[in-house]
Amino acid sequence: MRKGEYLGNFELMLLLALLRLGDCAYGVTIAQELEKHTHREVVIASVYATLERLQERGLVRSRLGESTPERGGRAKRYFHITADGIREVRDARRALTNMWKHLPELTEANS
Amino acid sequence: MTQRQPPRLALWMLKHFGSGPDNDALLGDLAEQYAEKNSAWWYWRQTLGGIVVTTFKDIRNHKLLALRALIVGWFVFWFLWGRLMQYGVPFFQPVTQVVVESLYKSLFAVRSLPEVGVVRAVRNLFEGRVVGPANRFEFMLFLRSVGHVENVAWFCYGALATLGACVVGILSGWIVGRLHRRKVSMVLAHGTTVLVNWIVLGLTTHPVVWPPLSWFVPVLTLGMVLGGVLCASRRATTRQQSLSV
Repeated sequence: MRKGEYLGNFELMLLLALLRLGDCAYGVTIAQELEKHTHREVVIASVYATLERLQERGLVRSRLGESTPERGGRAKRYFHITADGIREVRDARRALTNMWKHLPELTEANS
Repeated sequence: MTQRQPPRLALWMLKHFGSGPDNDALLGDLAEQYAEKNSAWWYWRQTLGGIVVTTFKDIRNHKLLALRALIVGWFVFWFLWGRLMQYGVPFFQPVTQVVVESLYKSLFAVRSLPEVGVVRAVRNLFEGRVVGPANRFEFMLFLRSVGHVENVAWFCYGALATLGACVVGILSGWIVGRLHRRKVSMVLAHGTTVLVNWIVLGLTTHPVVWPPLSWFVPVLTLGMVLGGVLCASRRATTRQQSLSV
């Protein structure tokens, strides 16, 4: 596997957020989902920048949605995870789980 | 109920300095979130973060273009700054001296302002309240010196030189923007290197004259950014006109 093909931490979290949100994943809901679970403020532009990178790698696809008055007439951009994206998430999970297996001192019960 | 508008300056900055295909969607997302959060501080954080993120993204995705922008930008800046220092600044000093002195003499027929108007009002405001008794003498000297013709001429000379620096900034920013795609990001990258260079030079070589240096630096950098934005706006308008035709 080439170096550039590994998923970064933020990339993995974004893909997981897309899976959790399903059809209603766009900038605001993705940022809210990340903030809810990480308890950190997310810069929405960094969400778009990372999703653009994932889109170039074929892990995510997007479509333009409806525009509403509270958005100043600007359209939403909805994101969906692709089959390749789901495969990458599974691979990352498998790798992380294997790495965790032999580190009982870092499991949640002991922390 | 009317919806509160996000801070105008932040909105303008993100519209002009943000780049990429998702900038419009990002503006919509921020507007939608702002209606909920209603926090200008949050909007500013998102705007500045967004500009930094999109600029870095453009530079990372177009490394050679960014390198070319820096080389072109520094060459243009070095050339224009040299002309300003060689021909502009030495010309400004005698001109401001002559113009201000003649104006000053014809207006007041004296070489210093009498203690009236603004000077007296400021003195009354500060004397014994803001300025302590120990510093009162120096403060009065300062107030009197403000009205001297030499100081007014010196101030005008400084203002003219700063204006010259601003023009150099606008021109170099405009040229960098004109010659590159992703113009605003490239201009921001160039402006940042100029800013960092001046700050490092100012802190390492002339730590004592840092405050006067700080007067030029923001004007120059803002001029560059303005030049880039002017170029980008002009290009967008031309494209829109050609599309409508």
